[in-house]
Order: sequence, then C-alpha cells, then structure tokens
Amino acid sequence: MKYLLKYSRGGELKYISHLDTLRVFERAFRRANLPVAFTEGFNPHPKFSIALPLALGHESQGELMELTLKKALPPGEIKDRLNSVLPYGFKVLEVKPYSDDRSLMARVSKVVYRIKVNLPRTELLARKEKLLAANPRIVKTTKRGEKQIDFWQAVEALEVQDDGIKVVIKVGENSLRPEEVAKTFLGYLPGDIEYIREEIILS
Amino acid sequence: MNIAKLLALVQKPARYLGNELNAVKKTWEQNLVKIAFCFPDLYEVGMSHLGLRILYETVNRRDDALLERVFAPAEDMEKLLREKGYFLFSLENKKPLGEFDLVGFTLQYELSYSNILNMLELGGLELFAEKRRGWPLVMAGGPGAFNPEPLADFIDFFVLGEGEEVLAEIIEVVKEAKVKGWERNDTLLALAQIPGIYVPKFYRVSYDEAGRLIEFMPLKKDLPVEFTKRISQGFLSGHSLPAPIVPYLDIVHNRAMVEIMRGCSRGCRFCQAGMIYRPVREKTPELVLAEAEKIMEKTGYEEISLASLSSGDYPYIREVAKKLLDKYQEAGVNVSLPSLRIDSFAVDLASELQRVRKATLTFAPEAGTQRMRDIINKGVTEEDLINTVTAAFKAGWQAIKLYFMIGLPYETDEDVAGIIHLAQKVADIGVKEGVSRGRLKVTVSVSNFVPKPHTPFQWLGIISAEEIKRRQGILEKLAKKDRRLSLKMHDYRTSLLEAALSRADRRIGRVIYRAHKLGAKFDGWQEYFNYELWQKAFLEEGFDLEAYARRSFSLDDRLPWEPFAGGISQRFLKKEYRDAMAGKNTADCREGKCTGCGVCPALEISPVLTGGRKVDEILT
Ligand code: SF4
Repeated sequence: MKYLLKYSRGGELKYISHLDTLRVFERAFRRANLPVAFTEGFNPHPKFSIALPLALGHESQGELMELTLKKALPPGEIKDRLNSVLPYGFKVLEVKPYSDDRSLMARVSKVVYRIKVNLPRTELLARKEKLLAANPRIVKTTKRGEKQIDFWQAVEALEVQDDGIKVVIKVGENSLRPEEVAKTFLGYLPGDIEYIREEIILS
Repeated sequence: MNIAKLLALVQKPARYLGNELNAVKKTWEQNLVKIAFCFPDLYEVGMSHLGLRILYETVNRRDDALLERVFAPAEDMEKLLREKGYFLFSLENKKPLGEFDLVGFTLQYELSYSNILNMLELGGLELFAEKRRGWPLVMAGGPGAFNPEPLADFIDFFVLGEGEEVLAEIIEVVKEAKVKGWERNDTLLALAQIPGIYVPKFYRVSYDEAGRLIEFMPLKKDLPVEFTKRISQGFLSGHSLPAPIVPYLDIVHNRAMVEIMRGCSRGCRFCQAGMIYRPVREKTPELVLAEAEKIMEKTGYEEISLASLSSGDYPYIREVAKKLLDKYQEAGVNVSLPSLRIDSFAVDLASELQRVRKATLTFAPEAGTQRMRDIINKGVTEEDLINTVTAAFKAGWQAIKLYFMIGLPYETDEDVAGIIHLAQKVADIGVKEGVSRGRLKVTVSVSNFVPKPHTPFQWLGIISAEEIKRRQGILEKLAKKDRRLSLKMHDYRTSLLEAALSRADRRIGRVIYRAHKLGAKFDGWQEYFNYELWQKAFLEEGFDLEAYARRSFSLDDRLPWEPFAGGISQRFLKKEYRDAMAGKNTADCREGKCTGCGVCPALEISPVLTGGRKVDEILT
C-alpha cells in the first residue's frame, strides 16, 4: 500500500543534510511502529523515497515522499503517529493514498521557492525589470564541459514580494539552483538570505 | 552569543545544533550544579562514546544538576569563534565553558591531549589550574586518568574509574560549596576526601634523572598516597542506561549501544583496558534485553550493538542476539558485535547475525608466531585461527581482516615475518575453500606496540623509530609478493608520540603546553598531526621525544604512575612480566581460579558472573 506524504522541514533542522533526513525518517518509522515494506534482496531497505533532495540550509513547507507499507493504515493515523515521534522541526502535513507507478523523483517538474532578502520592494522591482530586459545566461561547468542556461528558460515565474521574491524554477536538464537564481537576480549573495521551498510540483 | 549566525557559515552545522532527538535542554537557572562534559575530539567521535551517554543520562535525570555536551570544534568553527571573539559553548544551552561549575574532560586517548588545552583556551579559561580563580573546576576521567600526571598542571582534579556514582558524590560537594560559598581550595580539599579522586596540587612530586618517582607526598593530612578506582554498583541493576540521543549526522558508531558487561580478564599483557576495567561484571540476559528494548523504543536505530571489551565472552551472547533479531528483524534492524573471538563459535554467531556476507570478518591474532603470542598471553593458537577462518570461508565470507602488532617485547625478525606467513596461510585456506582469486582478500593491519601504564609491559619503552621502520620494511617486502594480501601499517611517528605521552610524568605537562602554543591539535588525525612540532616542544623543555618514549625502567624502580594503579597489584604485574619472558600463559580468572591481580581485594568485590559460574577464592 503506497502513500504520498507531504512534510515540512524548518527551524534549526534546515541545517541537516539530505542523507541525515533519510535517517531521521527511517528511525521515525520504527519508533512510530509503522509496518514499512522492505526491498527484496540481500540488503533490504525500507521502501520510501523523497521526491527531491533539499539542500542543507534550506527550509521547506512542501517536501514530498512516497512510502510503502506492508498493510494499509488510515492516512490520518500515519500522519499522527509520525508527528508524535518526529523531532521538532519536521512535520507531516498531509498523507494520502498514492498509486502512480512512475518514480516520484522522475515526476518532479518544478519547484516553488521563496527567497527572503532584506531589500526594499522598490529595489527588488527595479532588479526584476532589469533582468527582464537583459535576459541573462548563466554559465555552468559540468563534468561534460561548460553549458549556458537561459535564465528565463529556467525560471518560469518571478514575483516580487514584501520580503523577497517567489520563483518557480523548472527541474530537469537545464535547471538552476535557487542560489544561482538569487545571485543572478541580486548580483551577489547576502549573508542573511533565506531559502524556503514552498512547493514541489509534479507532472 | 549568536551561535545561530555561525551555523550558516560552517560545514556540518548539525555538529553544533544540540537539539537532537532525546537531547536534554534543562532550564539553566533551575539547576544548582552545571557540568560541561567535554570530549576532546569532533562530535562524530565523541557522540559514539558510551561513557558520555551514560553520564549524560545519570546527571540529567536529577533535578538539581545538568550536564551539557561540548566537543572540539572543527577547524572552520574554531576560526569563526576566534575571529568573532566568541567562547567555546555547550550544545544544549549554548553556554560558554566559564559559566559552568564543573568542566569535565574524558581522557580516551593520549593524542587528544592537545585538544584539551585548545578547548580550555577557546572556552576562555586559564590553561594552568593554579591561575584559575573561583568556578569552574576542571576535572578529568576516563582511562587516561590512570596516568594523570602529564595533565596535572591543567586539571584541578582527576577521577579514577567508572563515573556514575562518584559523580553524584562530586555534585553533592559542589552543591554544598556553592551554597556555603567555599573557597576554591576548600572545595578541592573536600573533593580530595572522596575515594578515587586525585587533586594534584595537594601533592609534591619529584623524579630523579632517569625519570623514576622519588617523591609522592601529600601536602595535606589524611590524603591517600595510593588511589583505588571507583566502580559503578548500579550498573548491574539497570542504572547505567545510556542517553538515547539520536544524532542527525552519521557518527562513527551510529547505532544503539547496549552494554552487556564490563571488564575483561583474559589477561592479554599488552592491553591496558584488560587491566583497568577489572573485574568482569556481566549483566543478566534479562537486563540486557530490557535495556535494548528501552533504547530501541526511544531511538528506532537500524542497528543494535552488544557492547563490551570482548562480547564473544559473554555466556548468553547467542541467546541475547537471537532474541533481539527475532524481535526486530522484521523492522529491518541488525545486531552486531564489536569484537569477535577467534573460534568457530564466533563464526557461527556472525553467520546468524549477518544475512549479508559482503562485510569483512575481523580477527585479532595480535602476533604472528606462537612464541610471541605466549609472551603476550594471547591464548590463541594457529590451529584456532586456521579452524576459524576455514569456517568463515565455508560460511561465505571472502574478505578477512587480521590485526597484528609489531614491536612487542622480545620480538625477533622471525616473529615479524610470521605475521605475513600467517596471513598467507589464511589466504591459502581461502583458495582451498574455493573463493575466487578476484574476491579473496586478506587485510593485514599492523600497528606498533605502545607500552601502557598498569600493564605487565609498563616498564618497557617503545622500540626506536629506525627499528619500527626496519620491521615495517620486512613486512612490506614479504607482503609485496602476495597479491591476495593488503598490508596496512601505522605511522611510526604517531606511535612514538603516543608512547611518550602514555608513560609520561608531571614534567611533560610543560611539553604539552608548548606543543599547544605551537599549534598542536587533533594529533590523532593524520591531516593535522605534526611530528616535528612535537619534537620541538619536547626539545624546548629539555627532552628528546624519541628517547623519552623509549625509556625503560627496571622492575625495582618506582614508576611515575604507580600511585594510580587503582587496585592492580605491582606484584601481579611483575609476575606477569616474568611469565611473559618465560613464555608462560596465565589463565582467565573467569574459568574459576583467581590469578591474583589485586583488584577484587582492593575494591572489596568479586567478579560478577552469570549462569552460576564463580571464582573460587580471591587471592590477596
Ligand atoms: S582479583 Fe582475582 S578474581 Fe578479581 S579480577 Fe583479579 S584475578 Fe580476577
């Protein structure tokens, strides 16, 4: 029985890594006594996967995870049982049955990020105008050499808000990290910048 | 202090969060006695340490005291602290060391001593005990406290032995001292009355040219000249449960550690742990299972480790391991043992515990020839090893790791070569048992023997750098010809420093201070270790590092660490030394006959063995 979980990671726990997060959940499943299914084979692993790694330092309000249980449980119960054992900073927001056969990771098409910076709204608006006119390209060095990414191809939308910007970034071949988006937008990376993933959009 | 700001600037900020699952953050003001437990190494190392977890739980369940964790900051964090003028802080309440009443260090290995000085400095405390005023008091415990003298300049008091109960007594004294506003000196004097506690400033110590102890004189009346160690009485009745803190980071031992027994009386003559943790005390299997359950419930770990110095010697090991597997296997939990004996029982057990055979099986014959194994009292024969690895290959393992030492007393080139010959015999068995050429691997890990205080080899120095290199050359030459072997050897310079510090006396405190001033830290980490720096520090204080590490004593000499034997009798150690030279074995007292090590009479206890076994008559 498969479920789709939506959860948040916030507070100081933004400072743990993706691998740390996997361990947090594996142990939480056990403490919550959930009948998690295991992979077959010599080295069984609990069957769950996270849609997209969340970078160390980023918060999120909309992480997605696919979880397989050996026997069905009411989604509300899964949510409550997990929330009673998860460390402060993690919270399961929603659990629903899930039956898509494609891997969750492959389904991720866009992410919505809020990037908080300490700049006046007028300046942010001016920067957006400039960026629209300039249509910059970002040079990325990969293992296979350099590649150029068109900013407005990678960023589907950019909205100026009171305390920063909200961006919709496409995920895939020519994707940009939120840090790259912020740096292109601001020209530099301020020390007190904050990244909050608001949503992961599936195809 | 705004630590939060620093977190964004360092690697692995999870080292400093202090909010792991089951971490205890108590209200600062509500606890009269505040203790900082300092582990002089990185978080990942320190959090793997069982002692820290036990004391954390022991103190934090009280309502009048708190204990918070402090680890050596990584280089990037240290740099930030220094740049911004922040003090080294505890993880839970983020308080600088100076705000605690007690700052306690655990002395797990000599190569962490420079980190202690660095941590005191980063914490904003005076390094020298005599310069500190008021609170906090700096204390130290752990195996290193059995030779406290090299750190005597920096530490206000040392605690010998297991900490659980003596810490409660210390807390009572500190409480009274704080309520009544005692002077620092009076508090220390009160602490010095507690058995197992050593306050260096109350003793005059001197040595002769050769480094022999000639004077160890209490400067106050009624202070001991010989120290007995402390042991925990509550350990066998479930009072030593480790705190179930679940780190976010992947630490060195990332698993539920369930202690099954303390002490080991096999009597390997090179092994300090085998002497200082005596006598053996075994928990009942019921208690082990109950404790495992409690820890698992609170942590959800993927692995349970049945921990002790030699878990294969625990009579109920198989039953306990099986019961735990039955209970938790379905939830994907493994059960592991930290060490395997060299017998086929161990292989059976490992087969039961590991469904996957891809892991390497590790054994420690320690020496390559029978003559040498008799000298060190490693009661293992070549036949034992051959039978064991045959069983292992038969059971499906393809990689075996063997631990050895070179530089043992009276070692000849033949003994050294014997290491490789033995490893080759193991590899031959692998071939015979049909392990494919490409898969078969015998790792030969060879460390350099470092003589330790309170062992039968305590009188001897380490062999010279030249000699280590020459013997390593013999190993290399022989191993090169055999592609099935993979030889790993230890850096000789690290061993020399370890040897110098482990048998050091009070004068070496100045050397450690100098090394710290020259920038020594994380000496146990190859990327930081700087041998030339240490050589310089020794020279500047009038010592030659290598000569100091090599110095030997005669059996009649009084050794600098003799007052701190904790109950082990010198007569026993001398007898063991002579037996070693004669190649005579000494039995394990768990077989029923006391061999007279002195610990039981000194502490007025006996070994606690399960299953109706007992030691007949304790020799005094
Ligand atoms: S005193 Fe005897 S029984 Fe006790 S640990 Fe030593 S050898 Fe064993």
